Amino acid sequence: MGSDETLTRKVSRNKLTMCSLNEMSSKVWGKFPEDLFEVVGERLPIVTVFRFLSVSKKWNSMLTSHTFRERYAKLSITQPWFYTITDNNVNTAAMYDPSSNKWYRTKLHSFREKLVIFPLASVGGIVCLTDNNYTRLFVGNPLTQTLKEIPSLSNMDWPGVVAGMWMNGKSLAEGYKMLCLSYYGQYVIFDSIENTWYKSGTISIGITLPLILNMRSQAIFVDGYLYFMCSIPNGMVSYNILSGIWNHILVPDPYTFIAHRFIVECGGRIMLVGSKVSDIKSCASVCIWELEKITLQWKEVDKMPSEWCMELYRKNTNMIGVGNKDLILLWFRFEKMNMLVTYDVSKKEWLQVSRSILPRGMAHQRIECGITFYPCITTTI
Amino acid sequence: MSSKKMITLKSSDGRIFEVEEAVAQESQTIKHMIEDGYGNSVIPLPNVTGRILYKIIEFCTKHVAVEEDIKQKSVEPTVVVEDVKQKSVEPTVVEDVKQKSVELPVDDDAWDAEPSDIDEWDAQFIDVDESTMFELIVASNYLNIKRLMDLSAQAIADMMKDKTVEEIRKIFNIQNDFTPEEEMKIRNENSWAYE
Repeated sequence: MGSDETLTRKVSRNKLTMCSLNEMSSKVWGKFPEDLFEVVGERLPIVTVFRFLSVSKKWNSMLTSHTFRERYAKLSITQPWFYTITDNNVNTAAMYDPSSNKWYRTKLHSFREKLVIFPLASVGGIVCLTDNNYTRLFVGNPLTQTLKEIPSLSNMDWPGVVAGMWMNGKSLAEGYKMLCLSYYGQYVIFDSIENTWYKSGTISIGITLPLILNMRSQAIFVDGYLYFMCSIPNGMVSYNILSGIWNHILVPDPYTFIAHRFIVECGGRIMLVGSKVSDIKSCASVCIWELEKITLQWKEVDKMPSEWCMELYRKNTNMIGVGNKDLILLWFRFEKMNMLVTYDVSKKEWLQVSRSILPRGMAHQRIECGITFYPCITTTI
Repeated sequence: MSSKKMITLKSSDGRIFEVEEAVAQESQTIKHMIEDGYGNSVIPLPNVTGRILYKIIEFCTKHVAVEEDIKQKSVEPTVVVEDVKQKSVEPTVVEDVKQKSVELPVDDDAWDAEPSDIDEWDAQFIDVDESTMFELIVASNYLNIKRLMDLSAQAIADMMKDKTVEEIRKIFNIQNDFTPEEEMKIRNENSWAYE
């Protein structure tokens, strides 16, 4: 199906392969001084740290110690990952690490009960998940595969909810808040420190209700504003967390040939991913726009290579998009195929990520939804 | 050019190195010794062999030069090498032991490199065999040279990162003191990391 090449990622300066050999013999390393393990440990990728927890009791205690984790978190250049739920897999999620181009399958929870939950929002290393009826809410840390239930929105009888989360301070240790917004324009805010829902209201701007919220587009938090994507009213609604004021921002609305548009945040920049069909030449393309924050105008930033677009055109394609610091990740699903594409916002590079690197059994699964999450070694739920 | 103060270092195997003070002070350990008044005599480094000290001096010289933004065409760090009692062979070429100043045998390109190429220089520098890598991190820890410690720690981490738990135990001679149940529990909690 098209060119399935794995394009090699350009290795960033920080990750120059320094040693061409990988052989480590115990003759040399058997006498490695113990006090130097920490210095080396701080520079291991996070997956390796978690794997080495079972090496020995001493290594376990070193890698879980507060001092090590604090230093690791400070030093770490862990790039944000993507967290997805695949269908037909009640208990499994998958995480993608763009910097190593690897997928990891992760257990959602170890509860006995059968739960069908999917991600709603995330902040830092925490993911918020809900069941199909939005009656139960959970927060989890994918790295430790732990999950905890939080008080539900039981008073509400909402057909659909979107959520956005933000941290109170610089780290999750200071707590976080979550705002849930419903079709009827109602919203409530959860305070993690008090473990309670404390504020509620209705969108005050003069727009017709009910809203048609884009359920698949992850809310983004930038500079004190939460942004949610909507079809009605067309565009985004934004919430200022300090003033509590809502606003409506238009988005470009060309003809779409692929279901869904997404807003994503890339290092503080607000981007919109959508598809369009240019009128005259009928040239279909997937485009990325950026919001200019002062003028609130959208500027087209880039277009996906047209050969790839042509593959998707008129094939009843579904698209999911998520963004993180530099990268926008797009899944396209059409005719039982998954196509995974990344766009590097700073380098303006498009890459098709090879399907062969999906974990076994995943290649044919439908990725239902995905969100960004920032793996953090110090996260606790 | 030799108005710069020189510091004399002596390796564990008796080899003498004379380096500029700025270069020597890349090592916090040596810096403290100088501040404590030992700068005028030979500073013994009993934990560092001549072979490794040579490499370390090469590293520090390069980084001092880069920092000072020196863009001379051929920077020649002056190194006086005297064999006091020597059996081992210097890996790099030293033409004449009696020479007062010996050029470090590096190619001109390395010294021409712009500061932004320092990462590549570092990558090439640290591309060494395991024993040397081991000795470098131990020595840079003893001499307290942060930049070199970070570089070698990163290189070692890169070698280790894809290893399995069993391989790591073997490499570092570590006894598994978990009971099978304990180990299973930890592996289950972090099952994603084992794929």
